[in-house]
Amino acid sequence: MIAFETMQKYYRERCLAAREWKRKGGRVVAYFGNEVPEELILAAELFPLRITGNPLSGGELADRYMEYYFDVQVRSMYNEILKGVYDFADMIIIPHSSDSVLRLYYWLWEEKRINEAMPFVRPYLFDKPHTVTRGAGLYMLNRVRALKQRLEQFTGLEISSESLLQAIALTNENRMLLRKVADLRTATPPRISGTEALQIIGASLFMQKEEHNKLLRQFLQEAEQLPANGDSKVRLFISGSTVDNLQFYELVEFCNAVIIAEDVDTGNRYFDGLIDKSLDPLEAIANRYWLLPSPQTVPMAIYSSYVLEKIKSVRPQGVIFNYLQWDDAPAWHYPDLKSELDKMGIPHLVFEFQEYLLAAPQRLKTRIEAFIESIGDR
Amino acid sequence: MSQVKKEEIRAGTEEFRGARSKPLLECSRLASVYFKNYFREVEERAAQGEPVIWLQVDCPQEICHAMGLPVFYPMHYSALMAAKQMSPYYLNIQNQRGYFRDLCRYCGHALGCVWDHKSEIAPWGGPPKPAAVVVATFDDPIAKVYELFAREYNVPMFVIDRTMWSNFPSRFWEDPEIEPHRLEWEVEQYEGLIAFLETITGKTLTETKLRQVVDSSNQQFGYFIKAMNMVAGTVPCTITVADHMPNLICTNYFRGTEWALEHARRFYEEIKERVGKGLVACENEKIRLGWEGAAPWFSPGFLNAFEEKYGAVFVWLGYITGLENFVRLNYSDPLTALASRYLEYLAWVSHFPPTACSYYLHMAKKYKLNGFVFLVAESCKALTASMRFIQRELQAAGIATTEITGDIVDAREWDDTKARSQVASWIETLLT
Repeated sequence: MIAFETMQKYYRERCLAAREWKRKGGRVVAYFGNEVPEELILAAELFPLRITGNPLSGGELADRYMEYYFDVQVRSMYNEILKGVYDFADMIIIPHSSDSVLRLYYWLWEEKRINEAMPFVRPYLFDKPHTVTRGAGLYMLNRVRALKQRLEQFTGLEISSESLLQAIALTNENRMLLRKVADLRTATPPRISGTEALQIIGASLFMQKEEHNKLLRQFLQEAEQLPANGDSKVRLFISGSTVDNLQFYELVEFCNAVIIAEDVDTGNRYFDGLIDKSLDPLEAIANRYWLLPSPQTVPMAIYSSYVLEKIKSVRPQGVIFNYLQWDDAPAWHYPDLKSELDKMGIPHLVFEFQEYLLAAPQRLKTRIEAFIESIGDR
Repeated sequence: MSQVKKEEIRAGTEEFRGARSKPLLECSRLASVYFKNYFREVEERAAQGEPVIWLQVDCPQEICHAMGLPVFYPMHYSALMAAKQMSPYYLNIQNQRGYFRDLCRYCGHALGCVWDHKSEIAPWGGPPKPAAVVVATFDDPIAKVYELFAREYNVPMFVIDRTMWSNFPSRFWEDPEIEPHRLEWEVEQYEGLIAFLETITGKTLTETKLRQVVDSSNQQFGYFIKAMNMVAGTVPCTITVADHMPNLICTNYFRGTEWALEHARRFYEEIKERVGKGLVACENEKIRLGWEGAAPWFSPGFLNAFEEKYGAVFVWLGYITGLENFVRLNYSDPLTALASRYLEYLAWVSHFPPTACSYYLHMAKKYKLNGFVFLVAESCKALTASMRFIQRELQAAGIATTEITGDIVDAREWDDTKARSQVASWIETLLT
């Protein structure tokens, strides 16, 4: 499976493709989150590179100014940016997402004010609304237009409708291919593990979309030859905080389980919701990114319903909720989701206030094993 | 079910009783009395069938005041619950419902009271039932908290979607330019809010009345600015933050009402009289301190605790910042004025570092502060962020800073002895 190994490599070496693009004279836009429309960046002939944290990298630089009670993953991203991991990025876009992510924008702004020589460019705020009213939709469209304008100023090139449509075709294809990958996970027995899926989806965040689509097509062609991924394993759904590394999935799947789906934005939520090609491209892009539910969506019932629908659609044997320290927005949904799962008779386990680096995974492993055993006994 | 008594709840939760603050002004007493009376009035009006609106403090309350609507503020009620030493009890209820301990406590823990349904033990008899709730997406938890209020009472919710600043001038308080696209949508949302309130309550908002309320609120802020300018200039200080809290904070819930304007004038006159007579809050004043953010509402007297022994006086409170910037004199229409006021309010209260750093330093100089104490209240990112940046700015200017860990409302982990000892030790270093 050369295609999988290639995607694995780009998942592991996250800046590799972007640096290569840069070396060839291209320009790179580092961004965070599912809220920033990749299509605009692609249509501007720029390389969209997702900013992620690194649990192994420490947090000394972040500790200097970012309070410890910010989402641990955001603190890690902040640390990575300060360290210069994204020093080659020509533009940084931070969305108005969670409290911690929003503050990442202001913290980076202030770091630059204090020291212009810091190894990153001054960030751009993409002010996405959180409500789902008509007015919010119009504001989102306004902000999408503003981002387009900003990218045009940056490149000196107009972003045409044609280039937007091409970018939409590219990302929609990526989403459709990733859906087929998702089907491999929910097959009986599953053909790939959650850990593998996370890398396949994640590679899309770090490499050229055309190349990723090519690899996905190759991977799917060979998928029929994939061996069954443990038909005796317990099928689980993961809900909660963004998962930007493999620690937690590897730990869970080490315990005789397979993760068949998740609601996190670096997992299946990344490729949810196609962009409607029949609409004006900017409007279609705005609608897709505005209406895709997230833990910040107001009212919160929208995201809770979304998660429950996802769970129902894949019929897992159990659900594990995994919330990172100080990642408040998804954690507010837990009581509602728990209550609904109880009604549905789906067993669940919660890990609240989790460390970003699983320094002592044994305690978690014991609980996961007990949970999986209890499901096996049912 | 047998009736539960307040004393049993308190005795069952913890022994700590907190310390009351020591205000000096007659105004402070009157403000506290007014708030309690207003609460009773809202209860009575609710009992008579009038629709009560639950409102977050960063929403344009002037609209409700102009419509004559009784308003209940869960945020104020949260502080009250803490002051009555009831927070541990209500927070435990919230946690027992599955809401994790590290989630928002300040605004969130009114949920515990709402879910408890025990008016016999709730402070001031408990909150009145709302006809609707109104909130702005100031931070992650607050809209969720209000959604849970609305769900509990089965009433509609109106949400103002808060847009964010993308750029800050270096001296923000002098030139707070608000991006036109943000202002425009904020105004549109207020128009939606007015239609919502008119439909829910059956009352009408007239432009004349709204303009009067906005004008009145401008005058109200004007008196406070003049009064606080006098306060800043007195050494030793004429009042401490114990008098800022009831006056500046309580009136913050009544912007533009007749009472608030009259109270602001009264506050100004009382300060003027004190300054004229040379009255000081602490004869022994040696150290002038600032307090970042909200006080620990379960023990607001903590801020008076270092006066007698050390002559260390808190003379500035970072909770009500940017007073000067709430005035909107040359506005084209009252809604635009309000939209501009509340978008700016967001920047002040959120303590975004580009604003907060330079402003805190500006205030430290204005109030001639020697040091700043920061309450690290981890469950409230919105009100306690950017402390490190602010401290850097202050320290670079030779102003000492220290941090203590605690919470704005949650006394469960508060170690009063330790906190006092920490601040006292730090003050001793300032005195040497």
